[in-house]
Amino acid sequence: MIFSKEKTTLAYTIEKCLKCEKLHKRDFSEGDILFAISSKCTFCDGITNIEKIFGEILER
Amino acid sequence: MNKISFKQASLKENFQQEKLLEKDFDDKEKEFLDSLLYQVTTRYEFAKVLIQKNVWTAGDESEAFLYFIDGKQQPFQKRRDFAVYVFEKSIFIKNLKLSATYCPRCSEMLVRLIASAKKELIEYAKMNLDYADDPTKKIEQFLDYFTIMPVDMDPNGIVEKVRHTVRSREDYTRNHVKSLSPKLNEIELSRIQTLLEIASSLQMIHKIVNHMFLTAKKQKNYPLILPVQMILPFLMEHAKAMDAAIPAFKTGQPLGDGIGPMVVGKMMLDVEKEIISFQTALAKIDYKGRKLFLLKAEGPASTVGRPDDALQKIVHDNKIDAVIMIDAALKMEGEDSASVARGFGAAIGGIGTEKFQIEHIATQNNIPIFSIVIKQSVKEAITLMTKEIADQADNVRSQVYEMILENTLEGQSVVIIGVGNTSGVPQ
Repeated sequence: MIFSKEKTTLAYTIEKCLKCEKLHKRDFSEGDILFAISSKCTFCDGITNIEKIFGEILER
Repeated sequence: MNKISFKQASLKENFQQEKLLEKDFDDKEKEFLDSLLYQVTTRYEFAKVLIQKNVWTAGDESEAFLYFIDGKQQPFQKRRDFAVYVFEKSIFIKNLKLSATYCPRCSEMLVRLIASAKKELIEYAKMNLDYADDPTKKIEQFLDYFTIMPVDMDPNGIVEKVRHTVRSREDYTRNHVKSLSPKLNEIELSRIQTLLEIASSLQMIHKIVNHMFLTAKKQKNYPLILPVQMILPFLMEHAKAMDAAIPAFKTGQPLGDGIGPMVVGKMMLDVEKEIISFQTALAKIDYKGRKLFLLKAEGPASTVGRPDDALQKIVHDNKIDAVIMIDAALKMEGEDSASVARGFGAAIGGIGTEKFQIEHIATQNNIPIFSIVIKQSVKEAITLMTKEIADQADNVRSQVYEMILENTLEGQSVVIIGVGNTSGVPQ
């Protein structure tokens, strides 16, 4: 178990539109913090805030 | 041809007789035989091997010893050589030899992890510290700092002493990192302090493992490695988790341990906040006729705050009817990661001083403590939050509200504490 193969963790940010409540998943970028206002919604003209930041393991 | 009967009970006498028969044993050989005797009589593995191998002896024993092992004749010049041969073949010694190779392998790995942690820390410090000279030397000095825990022969007042020692160390590290770069903001400062703690902890683990291994090797006391071998997988799991935690701390990502602050942090949004104790934020809201005191460490810095001091202040000024704590808990093997469980008692980790203080306040004021825990592994707790854990945030929040309604009446006050490291989690 200790000497098992390396796994890579990829960080993602989930943005949620405050207006249409749609979720958008993108790569994490440095400076992202939870609940912060992030960007404009791609579906409507609303503003998104960061709902979740998490990692997903990429197995080689 | 005489068959030597080696019975477990008479094994010790057999060896002692052999020691007497062999007159030309020097002190060193006698010492060796004694140690062998110790190993054999304590473990009985030798006896088991002898019985399994069906050992026979033949010929004039004054010249050469001929033994038949599994039907094959094995000549040995001395009984000691034969004893060594059988001992070497035993499962016990095979396991020990395995430990002896396993330890340095882990030790080498720890060295690599320390080097990587140091490199990351120094690079991060160079990028963020406004320090004229190279900070490498200063940082290496911090890594060697140790903490001597208070004497516990008289346990009276030990918690206060431990708290004082641990907090003094934290204050010292913080002040000295700040002295390197006075303009450093609190978030960067907390990150450097956490990275320092990681490198320092890895160094300490390596020192202990290496010490045990080298002592066993030097004194030829292989059983000394056994306890190390037993705890080594756990130590390595912690060490690898700490290594994997570095990128998350450097970039200010939320950790698995941050699920408690994440749940409470969202409840605190758009409400006026105040700093109630060191690095701890408080917000007050109303929920269905109940007054809620929301507590979490002040994010998005990498800190756990001081919820015990905060609770003390709240209880001093208000009548509290319940405390609800939300924290990450280590899952047992077989349990699902990110599963949520409810229970009673203070859900808070660490060295134990904060837990003690919270329990003390609750007992003195007759306040029940409820807790909600989100199960996760050591690695999950200190590395970037997994999707499964992040997805539980809304579920936990609704369970908190449910718990409030179930356990309190209108007009009552509840303290909700989001316990854990609040890196990347503001309020």
